[in-house]
Amino acid sequence: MVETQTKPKRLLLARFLRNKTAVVGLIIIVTLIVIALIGPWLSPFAYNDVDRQAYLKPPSWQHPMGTTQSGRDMWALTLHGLRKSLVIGLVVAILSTSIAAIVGAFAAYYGGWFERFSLWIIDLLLVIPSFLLIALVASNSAGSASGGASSWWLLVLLLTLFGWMLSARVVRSLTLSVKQNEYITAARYMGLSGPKIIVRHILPNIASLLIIDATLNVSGAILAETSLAYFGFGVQPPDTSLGTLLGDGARQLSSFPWLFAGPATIIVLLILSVNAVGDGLRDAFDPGSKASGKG
Amino acid sequence: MHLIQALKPPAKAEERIVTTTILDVQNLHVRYANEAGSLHAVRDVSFSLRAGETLALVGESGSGKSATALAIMGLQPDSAKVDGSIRLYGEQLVGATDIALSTLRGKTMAMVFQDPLSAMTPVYTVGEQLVESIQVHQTSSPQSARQRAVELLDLVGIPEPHQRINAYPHEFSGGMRQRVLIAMAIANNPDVIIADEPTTALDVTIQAQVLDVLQKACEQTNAALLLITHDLGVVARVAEKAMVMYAGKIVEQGNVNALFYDSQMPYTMGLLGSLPRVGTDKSVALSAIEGNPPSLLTPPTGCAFAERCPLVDAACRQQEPSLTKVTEPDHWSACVHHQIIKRDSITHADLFQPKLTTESIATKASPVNPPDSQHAKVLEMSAVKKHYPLFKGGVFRRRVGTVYAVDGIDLTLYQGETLGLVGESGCGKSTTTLSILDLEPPTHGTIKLFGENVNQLDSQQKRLALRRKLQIVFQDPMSSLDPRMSVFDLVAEPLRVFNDNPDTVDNRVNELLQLVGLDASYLARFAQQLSGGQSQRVCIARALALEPQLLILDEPVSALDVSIRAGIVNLLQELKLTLGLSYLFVAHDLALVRHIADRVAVMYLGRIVETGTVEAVYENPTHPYTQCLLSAMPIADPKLERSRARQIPLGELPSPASPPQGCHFHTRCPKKIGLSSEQQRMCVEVSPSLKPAASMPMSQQQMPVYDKRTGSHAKSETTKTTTGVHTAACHFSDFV
Repeated sequence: MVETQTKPKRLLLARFLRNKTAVVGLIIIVTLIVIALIGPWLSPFAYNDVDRQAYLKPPSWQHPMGTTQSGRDMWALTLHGLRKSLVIGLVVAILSTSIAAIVGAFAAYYGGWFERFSLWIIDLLLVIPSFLLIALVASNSAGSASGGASSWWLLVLLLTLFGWMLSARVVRSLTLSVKQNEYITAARYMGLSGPKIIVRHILPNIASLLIIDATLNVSGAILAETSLAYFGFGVQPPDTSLGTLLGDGARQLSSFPWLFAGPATIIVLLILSVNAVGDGLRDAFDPGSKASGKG
Repeated sequence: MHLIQALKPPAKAEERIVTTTILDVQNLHVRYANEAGSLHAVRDVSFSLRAGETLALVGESGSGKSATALAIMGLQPDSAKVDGSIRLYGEQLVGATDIALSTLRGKTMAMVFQDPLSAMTPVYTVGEQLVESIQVHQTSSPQSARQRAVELLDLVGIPEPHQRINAYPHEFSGGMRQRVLIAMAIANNPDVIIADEPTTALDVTIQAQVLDVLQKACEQTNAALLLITHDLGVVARVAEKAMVMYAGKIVEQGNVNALFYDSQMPYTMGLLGSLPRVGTDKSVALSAIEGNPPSLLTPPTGCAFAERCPLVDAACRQQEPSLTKVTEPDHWSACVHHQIIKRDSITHADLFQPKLTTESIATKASPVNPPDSQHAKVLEMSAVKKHYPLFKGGVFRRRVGTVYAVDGIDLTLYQGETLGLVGESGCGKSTTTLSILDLEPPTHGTIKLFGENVNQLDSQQKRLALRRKLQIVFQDPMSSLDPRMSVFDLVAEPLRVFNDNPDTVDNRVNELLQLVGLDASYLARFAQQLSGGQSQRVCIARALALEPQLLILDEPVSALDVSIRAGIVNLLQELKLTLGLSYLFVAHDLALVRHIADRVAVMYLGRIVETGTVEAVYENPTHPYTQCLLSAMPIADPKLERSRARQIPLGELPSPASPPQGCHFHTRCPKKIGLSSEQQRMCVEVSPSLKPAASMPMSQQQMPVYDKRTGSHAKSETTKTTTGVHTAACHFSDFV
């Protein structure tokens, strides 16, 4: 029984493993996540420790990636920033994909005024200049007393709020086509309620899209946070993220390149491998797509 | 007539006698490379096609018939590998460049595809596409090419070709598009026309029209026709010679008469035996071929049909039999035992003996429902109308019309009865079933289920209680099973919805699978790992899970292969008797309805035009539409099929958004011409109601059955138990 049940999954795995880029990407991601998790034990310094003997020192044995102007260890900072960026990326991706799945599927299943209302909201959110709005709200709250720890949560919520609409549109159109299948009608005549049909029959059948979408949303969210942080609207000090580090380092790029090189390398690696894994997943789920090439 | 002469010089007609071989296929192999390995779709196929000849290639899905056609046209996908020899007038086509083939395609060989919806470019008018296909191969001025296009449209029976030539494909119905595609195929007077299931997507009456056009087109151009189909009735009607394909190989070939009346291959016999026939004894179950065709990923070592063949022995499994000549002049069979078959004149009845007849089940089974509940009304629909509004515009939606999908029908279904609901697509059959299942008030009228008025269902509980009692089996088993769930979860789902005791779910699922003839090894499989017949069995098991009393069967076998159908039909018959079910059987296959149903209702454009017991309606069809349907239905009996008079409705089905006034059928009625103008006005103005039909049976409508032993058509002894009311909605039913 177990053997036959795993068969489709095994096929999926085989298709994924055939895509070398995706496998390398997956290895890099896993490594990065492990490094981020055990980060505090990889460095003798905590990210907010200040080494008064070393201000703006280039890489050395004691500080493998150098130190900042305030004497903080760049390696510890990068590890902490990576952790923060990963958390932001993952949380935003999961939240926005969930919202997209729920709104998209319910809108398509029920149709009528609910669908029109949802589409109206989606269109509205799409035309709002989200970058400016997030920047305004984030910087305002950072200035307030409640800043610090809660500010990155606010950032996550804002990124989610403006990140789910495109996925929701895709989910809606996919649900419309899944809804045509007779097993949905059969479930209705079996007495299943609408929400149960959506959870049991519609979402599992668009799961491949949701997984791919969530994966790609991770890189989207990390990049969005990075660009906000670059302009100073992201995670606020003393907390840090890869974007904040990049923003700070870029200002002194020519004279103190080590402030920029580390975070930049890691973020490029991270985004490239997340996208490679996303592409690999898409090809594994949908072998008909062009990118999968010939057998 | 002048058009026909313009199409081909009269000298060509004499060539018909000289039988030159046009197309010669020898040892054709087609292999597809895919993830699972190499699929050997066509294995060692050889045949030749002579001028003016009609050759049918018959087989089930996956038997390699389309792959053969595509290989001949050189249109196979890149992943296919073609070996062997295909010669057109002696010129080798295998390995020829695409450019070389392009000069032949459309000029010497033409193809008519199955799906008329996707075979035309939607952005060009029909005329532009026809002119293009003419000008590709002929140097003619735009004016003369256009003139020719009008002639072609006229030839294939498009009314008002001068105007219609400017229409776009979407303005044509399916049947009209298929006519246009035939016109395109004959535009350059090809010598070979390959038609790949040309009528499968069409309704029976349209199919009859299109087959006529195709035959006429071939006669006029003296083209050889390679007709690919799964429908033995179509073969019996059109073809002179036929080849039966199974698992990539030709297993029998010969003249149509030889194949149908003197088959020498068990597979062909099984196919013929699995068809319900008009005129046979209804109480005998259909003879079903067990099992499924083999996978062509691993080519069989012995006879490919061995696993399903009742005649199988060790000799069959040793090596694959090749085609051998069984009788003169040209009848070939690939069966080790063809001599035995010939000596004992074995027929399908000897080979595929139905395990159970309906009588034997009836005596064995003890019906769940006590007999006194018989003749209780399970379903009662009176004056039911279901109209859908048509809207236009996005923001400010305004109502622009109404679709009269169901327009006032009365139906009654008694306990333990099977009611057949027959009609062409778009007549409102599916809307009727869905409006029953919705358990919601229709636009007008009342639906009573088990005595309860659906309009007065006030609580969710009552609704759910009623839900349990009626279930549906859909047409396409693949799309009605959730691909993400295992067979166990699929069958258990309705039980879980109604919160049945979880401990008993396991047992119940096993019991249900047994009931539909599947064993426990299927429990963990997913829908895509099942064949069509197996998935339909799972659908039936799921529908039976809650012990319903009324099962709505919406074309339950029309998506299945011929050899699988009989097994499902027999299963349904058996279940009905053992479980005391009532069926509402929706279908377009009239022969099947006659086999399975007790009473039948014929629907046309949202109304019921004739209803009565199966015997009464089939022996004495009273409404002209019923007569048309019966005569358009192809019968798998060549002599009978070719000799009977045909009555085909004119034109196309009108849109249900604007049905004709009066009798809905008057625009297509072939009998209307024979009426006086006064009577004709009545047809147009007054809509007829159902009234009792004349009870005199018309003996000429009775279908004789061919008997292999005596070699003649004998009238069957059908007992006449004409009970129930036979009514028809025609003003002049006595007259016509």
